[in-house]
Amino acid sequence: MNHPEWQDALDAYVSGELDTTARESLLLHLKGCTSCREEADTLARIVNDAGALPRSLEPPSHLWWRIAEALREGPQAEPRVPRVRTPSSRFRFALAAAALVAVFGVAVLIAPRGHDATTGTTANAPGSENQPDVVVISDNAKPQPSDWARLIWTLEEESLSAEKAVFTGLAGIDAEALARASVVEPALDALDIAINETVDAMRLEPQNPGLARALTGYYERKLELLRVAARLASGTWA
Amino acid sequence: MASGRTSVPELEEKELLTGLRSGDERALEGLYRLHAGRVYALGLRLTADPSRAEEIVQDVFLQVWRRIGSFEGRSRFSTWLYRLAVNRSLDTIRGGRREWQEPEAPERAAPDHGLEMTMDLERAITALPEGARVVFVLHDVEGYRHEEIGAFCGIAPGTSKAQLFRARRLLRARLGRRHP
Repeated sequence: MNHPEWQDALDAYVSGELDTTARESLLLHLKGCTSCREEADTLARIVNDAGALPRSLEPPSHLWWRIAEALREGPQAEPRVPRVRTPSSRFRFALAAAALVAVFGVAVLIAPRGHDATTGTTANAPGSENQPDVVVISDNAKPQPSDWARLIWTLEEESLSAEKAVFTGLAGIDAEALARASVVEPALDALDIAINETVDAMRLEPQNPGLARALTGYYERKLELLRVAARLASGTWA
Repeated sequence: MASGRTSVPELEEKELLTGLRSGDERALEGLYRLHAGRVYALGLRLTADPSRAEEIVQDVFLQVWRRIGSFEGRSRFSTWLYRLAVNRSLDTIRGGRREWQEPEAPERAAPDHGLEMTMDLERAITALPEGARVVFVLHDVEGYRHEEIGAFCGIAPGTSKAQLFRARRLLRARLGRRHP
């Protein structure tokens, strides 16, 4: 930029905040100054692109349930501590999955396999007596809103806690291990979609026990994929 | 909650506000469905932190629940709501500076065209210094004026202009290839 004295005017110009006289002066200058003209074009593109960004971004599907839970806790309830979100990048996920090799077993706390989804009983994750209960809903016992909200909360809470623990234990992982672990990405993507859609469906059909079982099943499969990814990363999976 | 027979999205915002004033939780959910995306986007871009953005959305809608009585209807509800969101986001930023971490690009659904450009711009925005990022998002993305930004942030309008100037130049340097 060869004309710093025009910089403020350029900024106001691309913002549409330049008065008529100043605007005419600037335009006159731009006619004869290639560098300032390029600067104006670039700034205008940035401003236009920024203005075209989506005003709305879809928040995580679980977020409303956290708010609803806080409402039930009473008007003085403090907001819940935000949870660690599922990594937005599968590359990061692969890092986390590979790190499971070092802390293998952590993810076992997520929706343990083997609990009976037909008995209507409440089960604890094995070896985790202090962990929140996993609410298992049967056909015979129709779930109440507090049940399925709690189910969603519990599954997500434990899943994300496990991922947080994984990240805490993250160590140096080579690129080859990452590549091996990342082959499960498409399946994980599909499961994430299924989980989100099931949560939405549970909101619309809170009395549907099949949805609750489906959600638990999706989380179990996600856990299994985490295990597979960990084995792939460690080279213990043929 | 969503267990009622009335389809929440079909209710007009005015009806939702009436319901909210009478303590109907479904009305809050309806307003959440209408506006949470915008609040989340605002929080995410201002803080460059998805976890904080979630916290902001939660806090803002709890504030709406508790403080709807203070909304007198002189402005649009969305205007009032987004101001709550901006203030809450700025509180988060002020309170969490020591915990600031390297930002990551927000995850979102972008239009098919210009996806790469959009993602580049989102990433570049999150990488801006905090003050420049806040002013850029509020001015160039959200459309607030410098006077309003100054009031939000407790800075002079001239300072807001200076931060915007800085933000745009940093973005230009960062996006040079795509914005020659």
